[in-house]
Amino acid sequence: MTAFIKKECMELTRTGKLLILGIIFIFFGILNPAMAKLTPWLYEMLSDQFADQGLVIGEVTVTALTSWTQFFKNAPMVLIVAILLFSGLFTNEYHKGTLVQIVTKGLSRNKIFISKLFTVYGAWTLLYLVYTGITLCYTVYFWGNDGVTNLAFGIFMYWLFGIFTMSSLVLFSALCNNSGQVLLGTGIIFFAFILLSYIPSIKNIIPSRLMDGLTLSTEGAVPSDFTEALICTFILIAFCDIIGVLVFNRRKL
Amino acid sequence: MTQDNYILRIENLEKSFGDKKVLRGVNLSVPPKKVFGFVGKNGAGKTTTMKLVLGLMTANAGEIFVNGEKVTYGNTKTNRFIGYLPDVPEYYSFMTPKEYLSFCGEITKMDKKEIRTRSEELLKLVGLGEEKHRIKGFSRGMKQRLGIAQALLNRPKLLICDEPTSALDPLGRKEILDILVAAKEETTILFSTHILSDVEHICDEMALLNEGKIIMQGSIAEVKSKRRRNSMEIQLERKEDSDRICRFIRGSIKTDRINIDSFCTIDKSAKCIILKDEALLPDILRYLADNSIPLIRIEKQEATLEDIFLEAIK
Repeated sequence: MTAFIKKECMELTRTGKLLILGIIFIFFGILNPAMAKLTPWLYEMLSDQFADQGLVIGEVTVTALTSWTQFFKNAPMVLIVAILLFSGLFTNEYHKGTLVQIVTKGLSRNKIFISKLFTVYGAWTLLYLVYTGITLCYTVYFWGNDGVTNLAFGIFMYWLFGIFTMSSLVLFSALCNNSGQVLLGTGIIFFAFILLSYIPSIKNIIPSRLMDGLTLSTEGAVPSDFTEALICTFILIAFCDIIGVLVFNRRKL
Repeated sequence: MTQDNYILRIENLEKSFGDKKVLRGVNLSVPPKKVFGFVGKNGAGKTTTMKLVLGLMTANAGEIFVNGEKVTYGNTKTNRFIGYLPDVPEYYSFMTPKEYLSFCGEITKMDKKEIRTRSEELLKLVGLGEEKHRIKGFSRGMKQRLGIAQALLNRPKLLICDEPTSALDPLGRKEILDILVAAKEETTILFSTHILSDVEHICDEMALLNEGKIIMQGSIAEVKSKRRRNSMEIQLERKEDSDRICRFIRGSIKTDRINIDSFCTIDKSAKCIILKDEALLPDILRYLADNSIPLIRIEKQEATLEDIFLEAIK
């Protein structure tokens, strides 16, 4: 299994996928504090135009919270980019027939599936750490980190939401034959939960609740408010992984 | 030979795709240390049979045993005995041949030292020893050669090659056949093809698959002997001599009521006589010598595998 994970990592680096993802995650990581830093200047620039229209802009105060607001706003963007680039993780191999030779060499399908799952989990974790780390460094440097509560928990929750999305991507990769279908399936799950979050009775127990990490600082939410959503997400991750491995064991390569 | 001595044994194998029955009770036994030709026209079911042996498909009926162990679908353990070369092998193009073999060695749990020595030995055997580039730019022939190297890496007891020469130019084909002949020293080779000259060239035994059934199986000599002909071909320098010989034959058999065609025929160019009864040959040779008739060649007509194949699938 280590050999297959090594191969996956080699593929990520040599095909340039990791580089592209790295650049995008770093870009958004820098963008979060940059946007916060530039906000007063932008408002100042536009204030004359607003004044003509009768709008008066008062003094804009930027804090660490402004930067973290950007962080949580841009997090879906980086997640979508990761989904796009990982959508061919299995299907490219089905298409080329490369897995056939690996299976005929005696590597069990379970190990192939788990290796690929660990690779996307690992890549998402690493890239998310980079994204978070950059925002954290700049934010602390410019504004300190006052006024932000339970930040680590909020960041962890979004990471877990990413892990859930990656699990559904891997499940659809085991089910579907091409990356378009994988994208469609994962996209439907992703947006379905966002739509479901508008239904008050279930919004607190579904995985999309984990995207609301900012409410820990802005709306006085506490970590225990997310217990049900966390349990639900863990169950769904396990469900996706177990069904995924069962499907992959029976599918035609 | 007892049943367990066969490296591969297929019993009553059946496979359908929808309504289409591809295999209708295939029975096949491959003895060890042989090159076994698995012959059939396109669509006969060769690749399906091989995929079933590799556990890549489920059979509708029948059983397959590799080295005495039963093959199951999905995670079959019997694959540890098998090296597989698909018809169009595909690799991780971002790796070099050495890296790919090293990766294959690691997943088959070979130790590092063995991977290194075996990879070098095999890459040299297939003529890729000096190749440092990534697989991305490889030609078909190079990919096939690398395919043989990866298939032989963990010293499999059975090497399955699915039409390895079909898509190659004559030089590439010869290279692959030479490598397979060299590989015969250490493994049994099941070699599927529809190129009969390749079978004649390297195989010890063969089976002919037609319409989902094995219709002929045995050593190449046995298969050929089943359709052996006793005819001789006599090629003469001058056209007019052909008629003289026919007249002589008619005289030798001392009757003109018997149809001469059952004894000999003259081909279109009128320079060749096909003699259907060898018994007449000494008399004809004497007649040729006595009359100083110039001769180009006399040859015993052997049935080629192509004749046998065409006749069998009629």
